[in-house]
Amino acid sequence: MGCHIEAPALYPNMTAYQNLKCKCIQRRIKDNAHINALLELVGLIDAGKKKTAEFSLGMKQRLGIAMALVGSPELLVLDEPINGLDPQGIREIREILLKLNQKGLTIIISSHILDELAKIATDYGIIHNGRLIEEITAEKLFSMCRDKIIIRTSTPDKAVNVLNRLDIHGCHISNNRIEIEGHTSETSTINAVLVNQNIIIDEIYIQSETLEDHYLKLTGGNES
Amino acid sequence: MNGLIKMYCYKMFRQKSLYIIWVLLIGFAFLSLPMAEEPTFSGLLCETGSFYILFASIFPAIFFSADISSGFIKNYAGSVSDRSVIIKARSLLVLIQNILTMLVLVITDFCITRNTGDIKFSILFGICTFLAGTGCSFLAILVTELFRKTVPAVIVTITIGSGIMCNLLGTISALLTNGAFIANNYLVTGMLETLGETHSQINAVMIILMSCIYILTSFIAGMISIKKRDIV
Repeated sequence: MGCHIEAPALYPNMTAYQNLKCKCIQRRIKDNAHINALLELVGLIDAGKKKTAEFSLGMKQRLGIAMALVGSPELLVLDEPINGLDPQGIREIREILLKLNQKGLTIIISSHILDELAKIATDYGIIHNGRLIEEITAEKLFSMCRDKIIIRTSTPDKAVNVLNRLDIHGCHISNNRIEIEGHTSETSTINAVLVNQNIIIDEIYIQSETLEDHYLKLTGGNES
Repeated sequence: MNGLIKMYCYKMFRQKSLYIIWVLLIGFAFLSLPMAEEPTFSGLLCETGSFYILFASIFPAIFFSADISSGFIKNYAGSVSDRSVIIKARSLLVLIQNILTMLVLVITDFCITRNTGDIKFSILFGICTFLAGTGCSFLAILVTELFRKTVPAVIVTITIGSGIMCNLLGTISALLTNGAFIANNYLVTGMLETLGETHSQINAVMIILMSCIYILTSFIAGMISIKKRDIV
């Protein structure tokens, strides 16, 4: 198992190669080709004799990931790997992680930057107050976070019957509120049909739930 | 532990401070020659011995606190099954560093004077200096482990390893206790100064004993501390 904990732990007066060499020696890895392969993977092969003190934060983070990959672990644990990075740096880290994942490496990322996680994660575990409160696949999570049409009307049953005739199924009614998953491109048509059927619509809108909304809903963060 | 020692060695030989210390030591040897009571190897060793102890204390403080301040310790502390291995590896490294520095000192002093002088005393003084330096280095490992910050670790080690600071501590302790306790008498640096003046074998035995106490207590206390505290 390799791990990288938030700030990269590097000797500032050494080069990227020397930092990796230190860790390889400690792990008893004698193959220098392993160091070059790691530098190649994280895009630091051209860093040459530049000391890590002169590295940008993005370069340090990439080297931190390379350090965590010494010994070819099967599992990589990253704690806030993109904290403080500029968009270019975030993109570079994302590309490295996707490349590693494609090679079959399992990566656990702990992060609060949910939008970025949404671009790469395949499974989510939501931890609140030190407890795992939800474990869910990305597929399931995104289906839960899909855009919905919300209709408020005093006659929801009648409205649902009309919608079913339009071949719109899977409507959920709660009080005077109807939730329709998907079909957001047909919102104006639905509105027109319901009005034609003399159904009084108090409100109709598209609701988008982001990963952040879902997280806050689960952790009770919306209450504050 | 072998991997850890090799890693420390790899890093040590890439540290500029190691070579700076050697250059300074050689420089001090040249400067001390006119000040030595006798222009012999043993006479010069008495003058340069105190510099060796000072540098022997400072180097581990700088070297190991860099591991903590840079965070590099996180790269290896988690991969050892027993954290006391870190203290053992550090101790072995300072032993290697002390042997090399002592060699630099002895060779330089001998090359400058080319006159052995009192050879028996030179050997005795050399052994005492080496052990005192190693004792101070072990103490520096403990101080670094306890403080985990470069500046306080270096200040404390200079206080222990420097003759001037040692005399100052002796004066303060004597003033505070009306002469009942003089710290200088129990610090290897102060004892080594006395040995240079008296050439007394009892003094030499006391230095060897005190250095062993420094080494043992620092080693044990360091192992306990690193096991009980979190790696930060």
